[in-house]
Amino acid sequence: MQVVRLRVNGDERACGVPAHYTLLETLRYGLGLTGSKQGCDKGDCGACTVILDGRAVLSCLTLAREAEGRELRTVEGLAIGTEPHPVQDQFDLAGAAQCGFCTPGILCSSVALLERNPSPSREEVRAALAGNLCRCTGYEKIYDAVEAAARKMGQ
Amino acid sequence: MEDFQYHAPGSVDAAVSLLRDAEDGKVVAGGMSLLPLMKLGLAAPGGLVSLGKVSGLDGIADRGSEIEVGALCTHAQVAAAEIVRERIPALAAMAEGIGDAQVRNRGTIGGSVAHNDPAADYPAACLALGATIATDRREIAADDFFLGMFFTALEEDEVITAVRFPVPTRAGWAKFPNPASKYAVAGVMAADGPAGVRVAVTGASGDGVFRVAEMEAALASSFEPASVAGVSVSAEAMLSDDAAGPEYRAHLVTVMAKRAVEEA
Amino acid sequence: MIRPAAGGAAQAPEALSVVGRRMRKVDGLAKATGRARYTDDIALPGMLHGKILRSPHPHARILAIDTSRAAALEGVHAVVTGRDMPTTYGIIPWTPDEHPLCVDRVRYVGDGVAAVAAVDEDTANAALELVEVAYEELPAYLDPHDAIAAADGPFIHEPRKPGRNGNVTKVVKLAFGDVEAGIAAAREEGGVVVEGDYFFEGTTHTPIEPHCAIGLADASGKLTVWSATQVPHYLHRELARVLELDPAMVRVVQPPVGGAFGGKSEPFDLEFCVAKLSMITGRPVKILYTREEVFYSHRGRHPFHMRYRTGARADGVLAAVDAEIVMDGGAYASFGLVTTYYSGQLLTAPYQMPAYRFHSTRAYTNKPACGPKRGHGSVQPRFAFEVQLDRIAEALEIDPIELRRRNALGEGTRTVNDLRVTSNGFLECLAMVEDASAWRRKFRRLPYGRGVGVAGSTYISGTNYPVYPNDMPQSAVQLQVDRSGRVAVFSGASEIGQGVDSMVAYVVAEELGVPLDHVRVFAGDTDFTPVDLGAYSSRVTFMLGNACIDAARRVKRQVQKVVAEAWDAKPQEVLLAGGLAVRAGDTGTQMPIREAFNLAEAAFGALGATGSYDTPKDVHGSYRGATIGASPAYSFTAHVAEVEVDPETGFVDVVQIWIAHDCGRALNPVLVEGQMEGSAYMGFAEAIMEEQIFKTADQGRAGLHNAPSLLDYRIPTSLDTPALRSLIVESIDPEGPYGAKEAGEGPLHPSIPAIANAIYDAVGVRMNALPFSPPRVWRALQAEAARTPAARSAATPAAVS
Repeated sequence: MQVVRLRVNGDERACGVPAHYTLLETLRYGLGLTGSKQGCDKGDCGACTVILDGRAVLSCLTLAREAEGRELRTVEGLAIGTEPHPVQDQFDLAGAAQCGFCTPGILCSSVALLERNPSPSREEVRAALAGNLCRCTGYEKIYDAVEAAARKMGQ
Repeated sequence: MEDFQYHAPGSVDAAVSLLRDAEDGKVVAGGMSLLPLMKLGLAAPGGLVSLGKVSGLDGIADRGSEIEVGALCTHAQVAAAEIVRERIPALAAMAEGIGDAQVRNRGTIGGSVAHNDPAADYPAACLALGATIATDRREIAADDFFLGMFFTALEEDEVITAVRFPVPTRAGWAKFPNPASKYAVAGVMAADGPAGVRVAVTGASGDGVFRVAEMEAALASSFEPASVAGVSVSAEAMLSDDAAGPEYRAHLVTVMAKRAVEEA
Repeated sequence: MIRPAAGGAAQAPEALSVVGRRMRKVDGLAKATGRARYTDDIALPGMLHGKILRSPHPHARILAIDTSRAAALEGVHAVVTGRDMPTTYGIIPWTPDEHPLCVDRVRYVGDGVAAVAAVDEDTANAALELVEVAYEELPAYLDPHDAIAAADGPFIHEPRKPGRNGNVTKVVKLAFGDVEAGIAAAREEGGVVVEGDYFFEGTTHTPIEPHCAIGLADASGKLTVWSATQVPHYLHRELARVLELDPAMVRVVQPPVGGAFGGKSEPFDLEFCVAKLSMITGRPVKILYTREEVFYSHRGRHPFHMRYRTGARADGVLAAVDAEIVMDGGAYASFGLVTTYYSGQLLTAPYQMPAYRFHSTRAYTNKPACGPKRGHGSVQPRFAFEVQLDRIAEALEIDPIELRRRNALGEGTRTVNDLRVTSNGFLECLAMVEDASAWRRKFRRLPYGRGVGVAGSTYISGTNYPVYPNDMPQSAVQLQVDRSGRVAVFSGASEIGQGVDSMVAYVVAEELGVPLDHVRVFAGDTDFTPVDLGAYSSRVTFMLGNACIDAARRVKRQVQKVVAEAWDAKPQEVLLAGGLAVRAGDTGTQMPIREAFNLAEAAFGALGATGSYDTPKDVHGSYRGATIGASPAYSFTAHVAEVEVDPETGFVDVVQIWIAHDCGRALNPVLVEGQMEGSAYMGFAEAIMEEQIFKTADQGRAGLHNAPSLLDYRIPTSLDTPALRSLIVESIDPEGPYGAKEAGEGPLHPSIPAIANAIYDAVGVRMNALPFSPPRVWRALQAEAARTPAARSAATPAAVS
């Protein structure tokens, strides 16, 4: 066991986890932040995507200790108070979440994209989401939601 | 994953001595290659030496005739770097085509080169451009570095610090990616630079990255797509997997070589 | 009492205030904020973690299992083997051929043989390595033809009757009309007979959420199982039967499911194991499949070897269709009995067929069992048949859309195999994709390498019988109204992402006039919801939607009665909409809906109702097997796909798919489009990328999954997936809820043949085997190029005799 200290969604958190725990396992099983999902545990599906220092990364391929001292955001930290993040709201409006299991990771990828590129083209959205597998939607409604959110955020 | 000792030294020297002391120690940078192997049980290092706290290895510098890329530069950094985009656009294009955004945000050039996956992109760029791999103790020419699938000239306790790419007159990159994973089924970089005309192929051979002398000779006399269109590689040495059989892969090498020259 | 479908055909769209609008889902924000709790998100106090030991052999006898070393490991609380749960089960009651854990024989690499519960996953994994199993290997069958040929054994399952071939799970032979006469007539009258062999490779569902279950046996003797299942009711029944518990002491809870697509529609080993391990330890036990286990548990699309002979008259009108199909079923029966029927029964629309015959055989092989994947049993034949139609159109020089139009079945009719067809918007679907894709400017007119293809299809809106015979409703809800105006609906249906909980809320809000956010849907818990059979065969909107209308209208009538009395009006003059009760034609007379509810509660007591739905039983013929494939209503679909083929690499870039789908009525167009796009995506994936394949002995280890990971089993990313354009067609079914039919499976089917036909249009090669992967297309192009122009022109008439 080792103590991991993370700054996650603005909170300083510490918990004891086995040395081999990834960031995903630490979030889910150590800190109870179960929003980030485990779909494959090998870095192939993107459901575990979180935002580390402003970048979308795979929490299942990142050791918990590697995230120490850095700014970490998960799907639970995207909303502002009781207001959902515009991307979250547009996902709901557009029907971009069906089963919802890939959604937390896709939201993190989308938010990371929009923070660097506030008005991405559809091709840029497609490219930014290529690491997040969705099995339900065929991706169309996801692009619609991200683009609509970009427009809202630009207003 | 099996348990391991985790170390996060603050310098390259400290990393080297930790590697020396660790039982079956491994360097981890982005972890994009090593962690999947550990999860599959194909690697079970007793000690992991993270380079996350080592500073000074994540810069990209213009050294005149060379571009120096720090070992901890991520693929995203290389893809976005103005210096790289201007002076070796083929290298930026290659970095932009690696995996997906999450992989590019964590995966590093040092990790990719050290891992030498037979389907990784960087080995082809290093070989075609005649790069030099700098470590804590020496400089290794790309020609002497890649020794076969997952096998390099690195010592057990050696740490890559940078990769230096001579700026070519022209270079082009073309990859036929495995759908979904985006690993190369066949990826070719064709370059005309200080190291001469070179054609390096990744993804196609079980022995890892290789050069195609016949294509290089043809391009040396005329750097045109047509020069390589008729040159084929032997199917015997080609990998065979779900994505492609050996004959098809050999065919792809020629097609990708042609397209790489077109891109140059 | 079960009353006939409430229907809605009489209801003009302007009379609807909720249904038909683009709306949010009731669980959308929970899913978008990470608050939705899936099974693996649940952690119970004192919970143990289980793991299942799996067979390394494709076929072997279990000689002995020694679990003593595993049980002795520190941190291990229980170890079970097949002998602890010896009762067989199977989703189809006539073919129970599975054990929760193998008792004396393993039948595929990955078959479960023992399970452990330990303090954590690492300990459980370590314990598995200490379980010693002695196997005696048996010959393995990997090809269905080999299994069928071994008529004298050895068998994968002992035959149920002596003398039968134990490697054959089901044979269905059905014939309607005179096929030979039709074929002869087509030949003689200047028509055409097209013959072809087709192969559809197996594929798997690949939900992003791996299967997960938690068992909790408490001190009172009650067992609760949380599971990522799409059939809580069937799971409930089988848990009680196999574990020998009173079903009244078993509760199944279905948390939100992270994708299923048919892959979670029967009981799995982990559900029995968590239950049994909890019954032994008294502690909650969780098992979460690894991604590799998801691939091995499978139950996905059967590989089909198909031969079709199709005759058409000179005008393109079909004369006869003849099919012979061999299906690779894998190690267990699963839904295979149904699959075997569906392989033939569901081909008889949307085209009229005067004569039709099929002969389908499902074989056992030593691979993970195949089962129902989205478009169960009918996706493979649809691929073959729609390519056959394309060849007929070409031979007769008729535009392929026109050919389909000429054969369209029409509405209010019966198919050749006596399925009752009600609404039918197929012609409109064809017209919409023809226009939207600019078909006439493109077909046979695009430059080499680029092409378009068309295909049509149909699918059921639920099956008219449950998997076990009974006369009870197939779907039911319970509705309860609070004095605040809040309406609670208790629904037994399974939310798997398709939006069923939202559909329930839309229907109830529509009927009772309450705001959508005043409807609470409680679902997926057998302790407090009535039975719904599950999320499969596209049954939920049609059946549960009607059950919701039934329940809501019972309450509505009570409300209308009391309000009418208060206003001295007729009950039908009382309209409930927009949070108000309003007098028709006199909007000045109104009261808040809450007051109306309170008046009704004062008059009738606590306000609530149940509602249920059962299918009409006159929707099929009377021959043996006639009920399988029969549905109260059918959806219709047409696709046009546009492709760009790279002739140098064989890479097929599917640029766009236009999807026109007749869903009866779109209760929420956003969700219908989502189903259409998701279906078309999944069809595209099967056409171009995916294959669930296994190694042969020559390749190292027989029966080993070739690529049990999301790195190697290639499901499409955003960059791979074509642009998908949904075009909704509303035929307004007379029995569907407000006229609605299914949308979740039908739109998968045409993707595959439309792409195959588009490849032909682009580069002139017929792709008869899936997937159309780059090497395969490249080889086909090489073969085509190798033929001389003379040989090519000579070959054309030979292909169509």
